[in-house]
Amino acid sequence: MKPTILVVDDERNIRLLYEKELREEGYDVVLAADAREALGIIEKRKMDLVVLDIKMPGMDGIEALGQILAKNSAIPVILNSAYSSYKDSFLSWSADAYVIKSSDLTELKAKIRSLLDARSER
Amino acid sequence: MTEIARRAAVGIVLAEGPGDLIWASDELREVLKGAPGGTLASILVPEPKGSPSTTASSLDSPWPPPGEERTFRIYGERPRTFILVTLPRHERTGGSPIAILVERPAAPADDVQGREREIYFERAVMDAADAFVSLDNEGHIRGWNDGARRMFGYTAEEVYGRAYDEILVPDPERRSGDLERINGLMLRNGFVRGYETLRVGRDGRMIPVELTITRLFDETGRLAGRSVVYRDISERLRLEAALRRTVEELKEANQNIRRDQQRLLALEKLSAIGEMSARVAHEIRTPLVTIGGFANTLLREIPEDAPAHRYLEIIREEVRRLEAIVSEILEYVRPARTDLDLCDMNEILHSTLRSFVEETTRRGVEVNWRLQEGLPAIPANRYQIQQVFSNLMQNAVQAMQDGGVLTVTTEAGVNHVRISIADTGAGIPEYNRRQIFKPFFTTKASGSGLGLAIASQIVAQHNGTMSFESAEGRGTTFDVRLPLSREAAA
Repeated sequence: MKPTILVVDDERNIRLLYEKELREEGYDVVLAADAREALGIIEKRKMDLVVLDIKMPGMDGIEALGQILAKNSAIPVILNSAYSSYKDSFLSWSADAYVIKSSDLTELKAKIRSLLDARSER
Repeated sequence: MTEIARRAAVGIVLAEGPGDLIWASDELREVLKGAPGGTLASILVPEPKGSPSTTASSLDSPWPPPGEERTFRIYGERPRTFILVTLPRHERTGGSPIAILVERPAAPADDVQGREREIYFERAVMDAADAFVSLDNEGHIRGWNDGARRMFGYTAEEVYGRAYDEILVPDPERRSGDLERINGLMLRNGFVRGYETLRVGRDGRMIPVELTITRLFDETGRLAGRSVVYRDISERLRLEAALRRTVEELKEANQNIRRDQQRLLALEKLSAIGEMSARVAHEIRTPLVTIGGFANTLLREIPEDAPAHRYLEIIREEVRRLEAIVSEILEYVRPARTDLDLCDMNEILHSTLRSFVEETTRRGVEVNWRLQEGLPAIPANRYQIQQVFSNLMQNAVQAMQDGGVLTVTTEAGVNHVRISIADTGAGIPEYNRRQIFKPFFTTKASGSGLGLAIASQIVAQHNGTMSFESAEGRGTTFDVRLPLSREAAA
C-alpha cells in the first residue's frame, strides 16, 4: 500500500508542486492550505508523514506541530520552511527533520524516504 | 663769569620785567625750549610743599622781596627745586627787577630710609628673573642685571659699553626691520610694551622675548638712554602651543564624535536594510522553489533532445543561483547564534572539503593536508565554522583556474587554534585588499560578495581573528585564529 503524505502549505503553487513531485515518487498526497485544515484531516485519516510549512496565516507550523504530536506522537513530521531561523527554536526540535525550501527537492525527498523506511523497519 | 654760569651743573635762569626769559644755562635750555610760552609763569609750577601760598603768576607782579626762596617744578618735568632770588631794580633793565632762579642741588643721600629703599629696589632689579638692561643714548649697554646674565649668558663685565644690537639682536630680526619698528614705537609713544620678538644668547640659542622699553633720565632730568626689560616667553609660547594642540585635538575629537554619530545613523539604516533584505529574501525564496521545482518536473517529462529541455536547464541553473544568493543574504543578516559545541577543526575541514572534491578534480587542484594531530577541540558553532571554511575553500579553489595546490593547515597555539587555507592562485590585487571583507564586494561574475563578509563576521562572533597574506601571481593564505577557551569565545 502506498504511504500517504500530508502536505501543509498556504502557498497554492507549492502544494501543486509537492503534490506532483511526491505522486511521481509513488506516494499518496493529501493537501491542506492551513494548520486547522491539516489537524482536521489527521483526525479523520491516518497519515504516514506530514510535510509542514511554518509561516502560515492563523496557526503557524510550530504550533501545529505540537498539536499533531499531541494527537499522534508516532507520526513523522518534516518542517519545511523558507526560513532557516526556526531551526534554532527548540520548539522545532521535536520535528523529525527540518528542510529549508529549495527548488531542488532532492533533500526533501531523501528525508521523506529515510523517515518512512525507518518507520517500516520498526 | 657768564661761561661758568652757562656750564653750571645746576639750572640757572634769568627773567626780567613781568617774567620774560632772558637767559638760561645749557642744562635748562633744552628743557625750556619745549615749554609753552616764554614766561616764567608758563614754565614754572609752584610746588605745593614748602611754598603753599606762592603761584607762578605771582612772579608777574609784585616780585617777592629780595632774598626769598621759592620752590617750583619745571613744566612737564620731574620735580626740581629752584630758589628764586629777586634782584633789586636795575638801571639796565629799565627799572624792572631781575629774577634769578638757581636750582638747589639735590640733598645728599643722607636719607637712610630712602637709601634702604634704593638698596632693596636695586637688589630686586638685580635678582629679577627678567633681564633688565639699560642703554645710553648711543645704544651702549650700561646696566646688566643677573637676569640678563642668566637669559643671554654674558656677564655684566663682558657686555658693558658694547652696542646691544650687535650682541642681542639676531640677523634675521635685524633684517626684518625689528629695530626700526621699536624706534618708531619709542618716537610715537615714548615707550614700548609687550613687544614680542627674538633675541639671541651667547650660545646662539634663539630666545623668544617680550620687551618693555622706557626712557631713562639722569638725576638732572636729561634723557640718558633707555631701560629695556626682556621677559623670556618661551615657556608661555610652549604653553600656548600646547593649548593650541589641545584645542586642535578637541576639535578632532569633536569631529570624530560627529563622524561616529553619522556612522551610527548609517548602521541603524543598515540594520533596517538588513531586516528588509531578510524579509525580501524570504519572500523571494518561495516563488523560486516553485519556478525551479516545476522546471525540474518538466525536465523529466520533456525529451532530452528537445530544445525546450536545454531552456529548462537554464531556468533551473538560474534559479539555483538566485537561491544561493538568497541563502547568503539570509546568512549575513542572521542574528548571532550563541550555542557553542566543542568542535574538532580537523574533522570540520575534512567534511567541508568533501563538497569541493568534484571542483578540485576538475580544475586539477591538489590538496595538501598539514593538520596537527590531536588538535584540541574548541568551542564553536559547527555549522557557522563550516560556513567559514567553505567560503575560504571556495575562494581558494576558484582562484586556481589552471590548477595548483590547496594547503590546509591546523596548528594549536597557547590559547588559540590557527587554521590556514592557502592557494597558489592569482592572488588578490593590492587595490582590492582593503575591500575584500566588505559586504557585496566581489570580483566574481556570479558572486553575491557576501562570502568573506559572512566568514569574518562569524569569526568575530567567535572572538577569533581572520587575516590574510597575498602575492599577485603566487597565491593567497587566509589565517583564522579561534580561541581555545569557552570564556574567550562566548
